Amino acid sequence: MNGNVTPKTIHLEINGVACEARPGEMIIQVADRVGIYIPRFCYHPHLKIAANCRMCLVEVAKAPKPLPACATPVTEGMCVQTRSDAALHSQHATMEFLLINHPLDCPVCDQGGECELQDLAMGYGFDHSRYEEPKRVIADENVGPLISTDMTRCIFCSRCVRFLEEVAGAQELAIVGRGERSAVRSFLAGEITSELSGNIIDLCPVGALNSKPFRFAARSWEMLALPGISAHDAMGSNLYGHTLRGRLLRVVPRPAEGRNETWLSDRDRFSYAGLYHEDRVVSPKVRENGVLREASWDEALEVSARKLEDTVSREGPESVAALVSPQATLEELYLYEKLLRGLGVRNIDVRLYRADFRDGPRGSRAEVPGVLSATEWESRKACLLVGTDLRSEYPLISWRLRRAAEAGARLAALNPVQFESRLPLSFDRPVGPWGLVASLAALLGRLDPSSFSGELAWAAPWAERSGLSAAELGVLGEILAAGPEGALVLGELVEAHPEGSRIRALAAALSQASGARLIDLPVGANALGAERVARCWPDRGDPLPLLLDPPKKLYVLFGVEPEYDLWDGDRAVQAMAQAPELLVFASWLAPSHAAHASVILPVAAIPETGGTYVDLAGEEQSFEAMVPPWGDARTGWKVLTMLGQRLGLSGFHYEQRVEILEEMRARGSHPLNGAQSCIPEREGQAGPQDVRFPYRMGRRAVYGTDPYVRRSTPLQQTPLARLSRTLFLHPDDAREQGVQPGARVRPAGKPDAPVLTVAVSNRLPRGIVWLDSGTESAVGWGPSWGRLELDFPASTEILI
Amino acid sequence: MNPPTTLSPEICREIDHWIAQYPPEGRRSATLAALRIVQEHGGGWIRPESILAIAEYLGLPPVAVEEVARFYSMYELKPTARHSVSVCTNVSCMLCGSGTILDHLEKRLGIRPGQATADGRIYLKPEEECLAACAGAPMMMVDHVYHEHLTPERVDEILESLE
Ligand code: SF4
Ligand code: FES
Ligand code: FES
Repeated sequence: MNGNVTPKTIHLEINGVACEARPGEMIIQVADRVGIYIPRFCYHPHLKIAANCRMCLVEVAKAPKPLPACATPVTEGMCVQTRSDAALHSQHATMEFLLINHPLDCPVCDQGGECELQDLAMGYGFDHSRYEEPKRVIADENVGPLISTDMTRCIFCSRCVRFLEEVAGAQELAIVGRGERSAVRSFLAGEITSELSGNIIDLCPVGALNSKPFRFAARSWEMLALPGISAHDAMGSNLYGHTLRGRLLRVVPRPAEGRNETWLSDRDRFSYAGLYHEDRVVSPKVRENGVLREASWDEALEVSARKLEDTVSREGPESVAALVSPQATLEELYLYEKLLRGLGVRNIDVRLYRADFRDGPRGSRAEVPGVLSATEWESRKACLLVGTDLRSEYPLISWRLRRAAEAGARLAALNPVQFESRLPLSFDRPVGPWGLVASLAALLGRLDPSSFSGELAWAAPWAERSGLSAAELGVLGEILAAGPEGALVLGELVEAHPEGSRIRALAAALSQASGARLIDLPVGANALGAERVARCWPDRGDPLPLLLDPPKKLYVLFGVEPEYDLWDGDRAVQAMAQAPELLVFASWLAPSHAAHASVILPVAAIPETGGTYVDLAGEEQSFEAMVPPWGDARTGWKVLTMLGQRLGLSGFHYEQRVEILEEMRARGSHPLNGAQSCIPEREGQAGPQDVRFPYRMGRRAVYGTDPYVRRSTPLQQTPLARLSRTLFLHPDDAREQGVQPGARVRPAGKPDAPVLTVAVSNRLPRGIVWLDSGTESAVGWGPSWGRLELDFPASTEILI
Repeated sequence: MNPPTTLSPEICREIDHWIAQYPPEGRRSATLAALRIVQEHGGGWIRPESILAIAEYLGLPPVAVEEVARFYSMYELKPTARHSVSVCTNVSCMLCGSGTILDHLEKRLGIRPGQATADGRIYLKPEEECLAACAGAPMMMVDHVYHEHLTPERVDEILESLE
C-alpha cells in the first residue's frame, strides 16, 4: 500500500469466512452482508454511527481489547471473531450492564415478542441477574398522541434522537442530564411535531417508545402481517397491516428500497385508527320522508338504479354530474366511469382540489415526462419547489430531498408563505399568492427574454412586477442551471391557485428552456390512475366548476366528502343541497351526506379492498384486502358491478378483479387533441395584484387529505393537526384589525361553523388569512383561496 | 409558524460578542455563553422562554440548548435567590469536615440543598462536586467567590455579610 494508494477492495476474515469489503466500511456492514450476525442496539444501517451501546463488541486479532464492530473500519488482512470466548464475554458483560437498570416488565410491555433487547438477552445474556440493588426510574413524558413512552426501559442507544435529527430534519429529542440521571426528553417535555415521528417506535430497540393508539391492543405474535400500500399520497409506500380476528390493529412499514426504504409517514402509519370510527357507514341507507333510514342492499341498489334512470330519461344525461376521489382504486375508477358512461353521463371529475381549469380537461395532464422514481429524487442536483409544503404533502419526498441536500443538492422554495420545511433552502422568502406567477415569469424572462413574444406574451407584465431582487433571481436561476439533473416541482398550492394554469404554463416553458425535469406532484394517492382512466374514453365532460354552477339534478359521489375534499366545499355543498338527488358511495358519513343524500351505498375502505394504484412514478402497484369490509359494506368494484347489472348495462359481469384491468387496458388510451396546450385561454388579470386583507389561503391539512385520515382520532390530536385548525394572520394585520392572538372567531352569520383560534405569524405576507382546508374547521370559510366575503373581523364574531 | 420570541438588545449584544469569537459555522459554540448571560440578566435562573429564544437566536433546535442547560450544574432552570451558596462535599472537603459545614448551613437557614430561603435571600445549591480548592478544604462558593478553611463561625460571618 505504501500509504498512498487505497486499494479498491479490502480482504478480511470474519469467523474464518473470507470477505471482501470497500475501504471505509465497518466490520458490522461486512458481517451483515455475508450473513454473520453481530448483536447491536445503537447501530442502524440508515442512521449515522453513534457507537454508544457497545453490544457489538468483537475480537479482532492483534487488537489489545474488544472493538465495536459498528465503528471499526475494516483493514486489509483483518481477522475478526464474533463468537470467540473473548467476544462472547464482552457481549455478555455489555448485556449485563444494560439489564442493570432495565425493568423486568416484559409481560406488560407492548414490545414483548418483538423486542431487540429481549431477543439479544436470550441469545447473549445470562439467565439470571447478579444485580439486586434498586433500579433507577425515569418519569414518562407525554410526547403526543402517537407515541407512548416508558422511559425507564430506555437503554440510551440514541436511535430516536438521531432519527429525528438526521432523517426527519429537526432534532426534537435529546439525551438530557448526566450519568444515571440521563433521560431521553423532548424540548421542555413537549410534544414531538415531526410528520415522520412514528418511525422512532420501530427504531427503539426496547419498549421505551411504543405506539400509543396500539397500546395494549394485542400481543405481537397473535397478529397476521399482511402487505398493503399507502393510501394518502402517490408515493406508493409499502406497508404491513397487522390484523387480529378480522380487524386492522396496527400499520408498520414494509421495506421497499427504491420507495419508502424502511420508513413510513405518520399519516400512512396511523390513519388506520380511522377505520372503525363512529362515522363508518355499516349498512346501506335510503332517504324516506326526509329521513335517512337503513335499507337492504337489494333495496338501496334498486332505489339508486331508479333514480339514475329517471333523472337521465327525464332531464338528460347532462343533468347528472359525478365526482370521484383520487383515492379510489384503478378498478373502482374505471367501473365508476364505465357505469356512468353506460347511461350517457360524461360529467365526471376527480380534480377535487383544483382551482383553475383553463388549461385542459381531465386526462390532459402530461403523465410521462413529469415523473421521478423515489430514488431519482435523491440524485437531483438541484430542486426548485413551487407551491408546496412538502413535509405535509409528500413527507417522504421531503426526506429524500433532505438526503439529496446532504449530498450537495441545492434547494429553493417559491411559496406564498414560508413553511417550516426542515430543508436547507437557498431561497425561502414568502412571495405571496401572485408572487408564484410573477417569480416564475421573471425567471423565464431572465433565462430566455424571447419567450414573452408568442403565446406567453401575457407573462411580461407579471415578470416586471415580481419584486425579486437581481440577487434573488440569481439564486433561483442557479437552481435551474442544473439542467436535466435538476427538478422543478409543482405542489398542491399550484393546484389550489386561482392562476394555476399560468403557473403550469410558465413552469413548462421554464423546464423546456432549462432542461430541468418538471414534476407536477399528483394530488391524491391514485390521481395518476384517474388520469389514465379518463383517457379510456375519447371525449370528456365539463370540468368541475361547471358541474356545480348551475347545480345539476343529480350528483353522484364516490368516496368524496364535498365540504372537505373540494377546493370550494361551501359552494359544492350548496349545489348538492339544491339538487333533487344525491347518490353517495362512501365508507364514512360526512355531514353533507347525512343532510342531502338520497341513497348511501357503503363501500369498503382501502385496507378492506383489493385494487391497483398508480404511483407518482407512473408505476402500478396492486394490493389485496387486509381485512374484510366492516359491517355490511362491500368492496367498491363489486358494488359498482351490482349496480351496473341492476341498470341492465352490458359488460358488468366480472368474476375477478383482474378482468377489470384487462378490459381497461384493451380500451387503449385517447389523449385529447390539442388539449395539451397549457396556455390560459381567457384574459385574466394583467399582472400581480396587491393582496388585500382578508385574502384567505391554505393548503390541504396534513391530516385532512381524505375521508380515511380525517377519521383517525390520534392524528387529529397531533400538534400538526392543531395548526391546521388555527387561523393565522400577519401580526400587523392582527394589530390593525384589533384581533388579539388567542381570540376565538367564527364567520359571522354561521352559528354552526366551528370556532377557531387566531394566531399570528410573520411567515405570512400582509393581507393573508391562512387556514388549511380539508377539516371541519374550514367549513364556512369559503374557497381554499380567495378574498373572504366577510368584513374581517367586523362581521366575525369574536367569542373571547 | 410560532410567534417570535425575543431577547433584549443588551443581551443580544453580549451574545454577539461571543458569537464573534467562533467561526461562522461554529455559532452553536456560543450556547454556553448565551445561557450564562441570560441567567445573569434573569435574576439567577433561565426561563423556558429564554431557552427557546436562545435557540432561535443561534439557529439551533431548542432541545439542543436545553440539553446543554441541563448538563452543566451551573445553570439554574428554576427560580433561585439573590445569593447562591455551594458547599463542596467531595472527598477532600468531606475528610476535612464539610458535613459539619453543610449541617450548620441547613440548620441556620432552615432549608435543604436545592431550596431557597423564604425571603429570597439565599439559595443552597444541591450537592456540589470538587471545586478544585482542595488545599483550602472545607470550602464553599458564594456567588462565584471562594471561601476556604471554613468553620461554622466563619460561615455565619459570611452569611451576615450578604444582604
Ligand atoms: S428511547 Fe429507545 S430509541 Fe431512544 S435512546 Fe432510548 S432505547 Fe434508544
Ligand atoms: S451497535 Fe456498536 S456500539 Fe452499539
Ligand atoms: S474536594 Fe472540595 S474543593 Fe476539592
